[in-house]
Amino acid sequence: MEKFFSQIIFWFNIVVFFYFVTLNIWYFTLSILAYRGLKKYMLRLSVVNPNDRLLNRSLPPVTLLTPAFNESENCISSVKSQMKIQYPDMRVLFINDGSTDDTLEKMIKEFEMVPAFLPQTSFLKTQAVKEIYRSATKSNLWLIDKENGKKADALNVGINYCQTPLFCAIDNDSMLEEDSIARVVIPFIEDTRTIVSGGIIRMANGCTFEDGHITKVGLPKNILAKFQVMEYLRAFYAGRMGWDVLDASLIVSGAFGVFRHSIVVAAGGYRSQTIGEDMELVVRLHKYCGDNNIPYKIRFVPDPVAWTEGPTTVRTLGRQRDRWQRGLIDSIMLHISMLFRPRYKKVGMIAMPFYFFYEMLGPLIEMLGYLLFFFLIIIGRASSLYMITFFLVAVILGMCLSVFSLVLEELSFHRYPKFSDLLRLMGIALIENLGYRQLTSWWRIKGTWSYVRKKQNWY
Amino acid sequence: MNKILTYPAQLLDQQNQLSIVVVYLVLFLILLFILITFSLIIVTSFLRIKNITKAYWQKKLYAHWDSVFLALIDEKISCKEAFDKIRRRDSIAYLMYLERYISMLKGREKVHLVALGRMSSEKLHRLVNSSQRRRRLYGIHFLSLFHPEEQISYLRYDKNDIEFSLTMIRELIKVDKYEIKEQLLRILFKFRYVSPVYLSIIMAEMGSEIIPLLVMVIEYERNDPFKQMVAMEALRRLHYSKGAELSKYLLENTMYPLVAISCLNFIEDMGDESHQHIVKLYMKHSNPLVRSAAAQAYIAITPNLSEKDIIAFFDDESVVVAVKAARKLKDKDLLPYVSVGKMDYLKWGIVYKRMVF
Repeated sequence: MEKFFSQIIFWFNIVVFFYFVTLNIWYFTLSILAYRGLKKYMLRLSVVNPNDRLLNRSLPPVTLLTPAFNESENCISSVKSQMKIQYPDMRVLFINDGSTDDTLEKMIKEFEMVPAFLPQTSFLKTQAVKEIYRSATKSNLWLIDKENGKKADALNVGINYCQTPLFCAIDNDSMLEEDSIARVVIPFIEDTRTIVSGGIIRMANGCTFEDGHITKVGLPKNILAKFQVMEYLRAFYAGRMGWDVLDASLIVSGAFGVFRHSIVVAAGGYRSQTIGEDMELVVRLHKYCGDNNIPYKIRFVPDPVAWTEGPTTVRTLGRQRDRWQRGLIDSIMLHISMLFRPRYKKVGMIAMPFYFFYEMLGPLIEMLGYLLFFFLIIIGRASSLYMITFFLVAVILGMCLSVFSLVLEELSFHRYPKFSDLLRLMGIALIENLGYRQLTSWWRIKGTWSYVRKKQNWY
Repeated sequence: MNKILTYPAQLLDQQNQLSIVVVYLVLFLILLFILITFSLIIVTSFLRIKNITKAYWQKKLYAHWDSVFLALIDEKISCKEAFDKIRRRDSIAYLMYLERYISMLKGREKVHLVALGRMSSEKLHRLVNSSQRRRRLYGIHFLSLFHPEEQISYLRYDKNDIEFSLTMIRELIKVDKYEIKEQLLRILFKFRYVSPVYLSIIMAEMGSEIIPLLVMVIEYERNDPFKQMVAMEALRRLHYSKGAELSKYLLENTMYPLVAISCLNFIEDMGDESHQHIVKLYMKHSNPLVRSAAAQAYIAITPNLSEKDIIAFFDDESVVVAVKAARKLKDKDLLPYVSVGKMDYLKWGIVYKRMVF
């Protein structure tokens, strides 16, 4: 029996060690790729002005889709900020997803909405549309009132009534910078194979906004929000940028992404029965293009920014992470057939395996590791010296990667102007691995468990 | 991203002979990564200090350059004197600042500043011949401002470096020389994945001189729909007077939907009643995008639309045709007659009723 246990522990150790080493090699590789990609992008920015006259004249029309459910508090400021976006041909389609508060009434009153007709250009299956309105004062603002059907359904309604070749899906609580749409659309002009292009999401907590526009960038006071600032920097700079260089992006944030209308309709639109509809759609687009031999590109652009409020309490943050993990698992499991399939090129051979083994199964392996560790303590075979040293390696590796994303931020857009903010971020990069990281792992484990129990709440 | 495992399961067996080696290895890794982390912290701080210092010096230099440029504009000093006075005249920042002034000025003032820029020719040549891509791009950019005639020697198409080639072309279109335009046009047609709208806008920017070249492309590149489409779009933007006839000829001979759409767009803009017949043929095309382009063109060139025409638009298989036709009718402020009874039986009668009627 003793020998059997030793064998199990030995093999589990091998798996964990291999997992740990390969995971960190990947993170470092992605960071280095991101550095190269960012450097190239910065050079491009220094020579090609995104506000160039010729480029501006080529910008295709875009529809901004803003789904909202019970957003009475911030729907007006959000739409006002969207109306200020500088783009030659842009329509805003606000979709009221059966709100039970006074979102609809507020919108109608504030923007003098009157019933109007908007032809349906595609026919994705959705909940019923009750009425379509158009603003009497702002001709490019439309409002669709529909039965509740969750975010993906609301977006599908927007897609059905979208009259432009491109649409941009944004969250109602996101604030886009004035030139963000013009910048995020450039990949569509420079390469007609582009089907999706996403911008960067930054934390709005701690920043000052006036009239829906950012006037001062700063760090939040809340420690959880500070951790998230660091997390977002790492996720977007080191993560998304790295995957973009590899041409294998699997995620375009639901809070800010531009899509080619025709291809999304052909692929069937957003999937209503999923929690992570943004990731699921992107994965499905990869699959659709791969299956139909359509040449395509999915791009990440690092400077157009959408500012979004992050959760500030442990409870709300935990719920958000739980939802993200369920969304991730759902997206991967729905398209598991793409795993290790050369037909899907780098997405099938690199990105999907990475997300499957490290992002999806990671929390499970981690949980098993903790359980084994406690088991070994109980039977008296755990060594505190080894535990401390191994823990230190893990923590310091984490710090190293976090600080590297700060280097990338300083090399590129250095949006936090105060030196003290930078020092604070460095401090956050050092301490987030001691507690916060473990907390997010716990939430992911909970998310995995919820997924297994098929608990699917979106709002 | 960046989730680190924090359990030491593989190191727990104290009986393992290798454990001591593993401990040393782990300690080495800890030290190494601590060193890297602190180096990165120093690099980040250094970058921030560099950015702050750069901003400070930039402010000071801008004030200095302002005074020199203004003195030159007011003709208080000569170009040579201005050049001698300028601090950091070998920097890219100086040339960029000078460019900002030039873009805002006209006439004699602009000439003075361009002359000042031309005095940096040695620097420009160093830039365009640099081994660094970044410096070469700057070089090309500034050459187009100060020595456009020399820029052509650096013109090349690199399919692995589309950004570089496209940037160069965008700079070169400012040069008013036929030979250069000819070469640029040839290269522009190689950008197969760049938006045809963007390409045609760049082409149109070169002016009407390139019209014969574009017509030639259309006539000789019959098996290349991309080239024909882009050329047709560029001609449309240049308001080529014989374009409608050319479109008619192409529509009679092409089998490519993309080419047909650009020709129909041309007829929509510049066609007349004589093109009705060919346009009508395309309203039966299998591709809904071609049909919608044909519907728009037909509405544009037909003074009196019949009930039969309207029924064809709003009873089409695709909603796109109905929507585009409705928009065109609304733009032209037309309300052609359709009897109420028939309207209700049209597939997209609702579109007609709500958008036109």
